[in-house]
Amino acid sequence: MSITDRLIKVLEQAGRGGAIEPRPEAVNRAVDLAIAATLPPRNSFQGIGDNSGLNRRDPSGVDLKHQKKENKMTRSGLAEQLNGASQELDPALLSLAMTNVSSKRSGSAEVLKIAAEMESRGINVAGCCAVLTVLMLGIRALETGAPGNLIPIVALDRLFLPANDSRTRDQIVEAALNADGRDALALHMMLAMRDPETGEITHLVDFLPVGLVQNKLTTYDSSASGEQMLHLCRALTGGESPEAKARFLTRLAAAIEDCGLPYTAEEVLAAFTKVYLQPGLYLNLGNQLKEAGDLQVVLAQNLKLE
Amino acid sequence: MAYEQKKTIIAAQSGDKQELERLIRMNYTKMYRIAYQWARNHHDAEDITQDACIRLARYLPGFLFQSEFDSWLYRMVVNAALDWHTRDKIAPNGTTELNEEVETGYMDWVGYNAEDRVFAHEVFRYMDKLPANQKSALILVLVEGLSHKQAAEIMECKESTVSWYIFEARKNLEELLKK
Repeated sequence: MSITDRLIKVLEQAGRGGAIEPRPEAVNRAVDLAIAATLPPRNSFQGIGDNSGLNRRDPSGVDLKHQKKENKMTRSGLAEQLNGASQELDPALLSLAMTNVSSKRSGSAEVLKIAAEMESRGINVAGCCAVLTVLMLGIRALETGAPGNLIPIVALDRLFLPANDSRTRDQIVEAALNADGRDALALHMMLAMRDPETGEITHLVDFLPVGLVQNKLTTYDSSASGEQMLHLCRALTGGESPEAKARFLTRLAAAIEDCGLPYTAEEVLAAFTKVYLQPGLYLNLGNQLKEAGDLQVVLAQNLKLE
Repeated sequence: MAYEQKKTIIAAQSGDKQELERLIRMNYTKMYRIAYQWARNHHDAEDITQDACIRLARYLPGFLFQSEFDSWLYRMVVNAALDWHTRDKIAPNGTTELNEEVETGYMDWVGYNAEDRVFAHEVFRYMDKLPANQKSALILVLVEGLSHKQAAEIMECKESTVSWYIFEARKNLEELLKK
């Protein structure tokens, strides 16, 4: 039989291979997410008038109203982009925002507009930038093979919470579970909240209201399994049993050994915890990474236990 | 289209979440099957199908019954698979990674000897090396048994383009397998 015939036979056989039975929990999860995707995002920009924040003078002295006229991107276009529940931000713009939002030194109108929109939603721009910086750390970590791809998950904690949102995480979880929880925060939170094994709801990626990082997260963090993220999150938040924590540390130690990092699992976990507990450290780490240009140097400088 | 399914679609379009759930459950296996042909492993197939379900929910109100619902559905899955391919299959250095962990899957291997199985494994591995459009065409036409016309509708291209994709895909695969 020729290669052509064998090839066609194999492909046709694949099609006739019989029914595959998807896992019921995978179907349930897909249904949950699909239904959540139909909910309108909280703080939608639609219908917002001149008080949206775009027309006000930025604290840095830049007249955003004037800039708006000069820019080709309309406010609705920008809003659509920022409306992360249904849109993905242009990666190039995200990259620009990553490097420039915090300092605002580039003067880039696009970046400033993003910042203005974020601020108009009560989102801490410096915090966002800090998160993005940590995200870059994570990306860099992935590229260098370090287990730092788990950092972004941790770092997403609460920085993206709008400043005027006084709800606790439990309250947000409740909102997500309510049938009428029309809440962008909740929507995104649900993307990673349900434990596929037990169906248990846990605190994980619950701070992605504008979806700015969602794209990057799914793009770059795919090597971290849901289980890894879940365990890390539980371990960090103290919600894990000692046995489970020990199992997680064992796996983490193996990953660290694979990557050749000179740290113990306990040190790395403690370092993550330290970062997790001190939001101000994020930006500092990002700046140091810029200077050092090497994640491992930054890790060595900052993530050692005292 | 079956009357029952059309009724479900219309209800789901009007915001009935129970009917949306019903629609997804009715079609999940079909979607999963295509996703699996793309990814050749259950983990990624679940991710692709999940993404396709989210797209289905978002874009369903825009479905105007001007095409077959199945074709529209396939398009959601194929697009989700293409995004997955772009997102997860590109190594940091910009080269496409070859999936070494490909599963030969749920195929019925009755009548296959060891050599045939190795050959099949190679086929699926090398399919990952094909350009995305060629792989899509191959899956839709040769694996799923759709007509070139149906595949063209799903891939939003001309029928002749699908034929060309398949021709090229087969040629490329054969060359790879001869090495």
